[in-house]
Amino acid sequence: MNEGGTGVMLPAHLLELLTASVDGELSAAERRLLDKTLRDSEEARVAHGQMLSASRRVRQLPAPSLGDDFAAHIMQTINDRAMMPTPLPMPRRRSTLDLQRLLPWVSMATAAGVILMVGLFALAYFMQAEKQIADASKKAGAPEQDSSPVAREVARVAKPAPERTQKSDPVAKPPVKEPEAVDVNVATKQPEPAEVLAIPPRMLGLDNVIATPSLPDAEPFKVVGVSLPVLLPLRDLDEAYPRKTTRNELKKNEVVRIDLFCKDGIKASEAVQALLKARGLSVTVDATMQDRIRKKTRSDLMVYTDALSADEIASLLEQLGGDDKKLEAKKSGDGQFDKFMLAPFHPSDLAELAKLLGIPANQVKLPKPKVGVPADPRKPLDSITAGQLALNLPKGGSKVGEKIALIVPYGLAGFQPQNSREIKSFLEKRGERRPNTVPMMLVLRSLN
Amino acid sequence: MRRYQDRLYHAIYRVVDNAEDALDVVQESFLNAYQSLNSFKGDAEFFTWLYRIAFNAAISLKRKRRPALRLEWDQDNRTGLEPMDDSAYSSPASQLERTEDEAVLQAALNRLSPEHRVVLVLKDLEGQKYEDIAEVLNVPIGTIRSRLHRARVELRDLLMEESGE
Repeated sequence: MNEGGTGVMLPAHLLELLTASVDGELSAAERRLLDKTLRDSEEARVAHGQMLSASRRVRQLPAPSLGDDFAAHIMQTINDRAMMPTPLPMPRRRSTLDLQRLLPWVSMATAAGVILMVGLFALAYFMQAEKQIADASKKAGAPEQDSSPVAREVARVAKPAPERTQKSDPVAKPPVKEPEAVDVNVATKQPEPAEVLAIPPRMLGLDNVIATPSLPDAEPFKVVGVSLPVLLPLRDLDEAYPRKTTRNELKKNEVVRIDLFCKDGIKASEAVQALLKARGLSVTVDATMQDRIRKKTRSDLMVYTDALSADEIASLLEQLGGDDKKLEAKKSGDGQFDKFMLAPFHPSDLAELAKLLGIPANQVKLPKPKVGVPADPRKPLDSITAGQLALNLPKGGSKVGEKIALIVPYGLAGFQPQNSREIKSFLEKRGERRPNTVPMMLVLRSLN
Repeated sequence: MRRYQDRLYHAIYRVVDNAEDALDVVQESFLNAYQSLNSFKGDAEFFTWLYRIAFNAAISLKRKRRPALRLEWDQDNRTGLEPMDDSAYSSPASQLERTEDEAVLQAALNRLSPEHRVVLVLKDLEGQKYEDIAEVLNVPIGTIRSRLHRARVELRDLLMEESGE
């Protein structure tokens, strides 16, 4: 395959490579192939040189010029011929029946039409109904003259309210075997007759629907006070609002649970113990806890006592916060306590308390309600059981009024309170609770 | 217009090899461009668009000027009918004005087909890339590469023939 019969004889693909090289349009691979070909082939070198020479000669051809008046000549020609740029053909107008574009509008118009029709029918229906009711009301004085269901119902509703709503009145509360459609609103609200007529009930077709028996009188809604957890900084108890809030919350509960966050539970317990002792309480510390205090092992603990009243607990917390504030003011970082949480006592707290004190759950007996105080089924269960648990904790009953407190580990894995002699001793020493005292479960939680 | 006129004229002149024809082609190209200005979409450079108009006109002109009896290419024996158009190449007066080298080269260019001549002018004289030439002539790049290859081989052979090698 050769091209250029008068020139060198080279394969066609090599000639293409040479011409592409002269064009300056070689890829890297083609460039490498060309270099190799030029190195190896004398014929290729000659042909390449000839093509380069021809290209160079074409580039060096002299360039003629048109002169400066050419542009003016063109403009004159344009003027002479009155030439104007040919306007582009107008784009085809889109068909006015472009269904793709109209489809959403058609859908919306259809929907709007349906809604409008429904509204008009509803309006006509209710206007007709009101007209019938008004006509029937006029004839209410002669009830037997109009036997239509509407008229009968209006006549029945128009009767004096007491006759309709008295529980003993068999007419107002018909037997279940013969249910009668009764407007609940009319039956329960006991409105004045004039009001009933002013706002007539919907009665059309009442004879044709399955009636329901009259509902019993519903009790009005009661506002139930919801207790929410209170989270306050312990050191702020010297201020009015936190102090008042704390005291109020403490008085709400039969059993108090306080989660007090501190830097180190051991150090915090020392402060709590000191205050308890200052208030005349003898503090019993579980042996496991004693061991951890001695070794200064970081741990959480629970202080339990039922020898303090709500006010005394509040006072204890206030003093604890005040002392801690002084420590912090004296030297930053010496304060131990952070915030405390005072939450409503929960049944799960009871279970936890029983577990911490080593009392089997089956030994927690619910006491009988006090005689003369009717049981209130609406009263939350936990508010009853809290007091019941406190009352049912095993008591020695030896000394009435002995003020004691117990400290046990809290959340310590493997702790077996039932084997603790200190807890047993505490439970035995407990006498009858003094009046107004509140069981307190103070959990000292170490931060970090 | 002044920006493009000389460059376009030079390229067209090398294709048609006649000053008057080149002038006519360039003039008509500018007028056509002006008239068709609204159809210029701006998706190509204006120069490319103008070149397309001008070179199409030039190729059409050269085809018209070719004799009806175009003999087949005889590689071994030139027919003697070349050049096939009545360009200035055949005009003795014009021939005298040129340098010998230019005359030989232009004679070789005139013996190329208009399509080959155009791609060679656009490539060597205008220094355009394959893509740009393809856009001007509205043909695929592969066609441009092929035409250029054939044009170069043919031009080389013609020049060798002229020089007596």
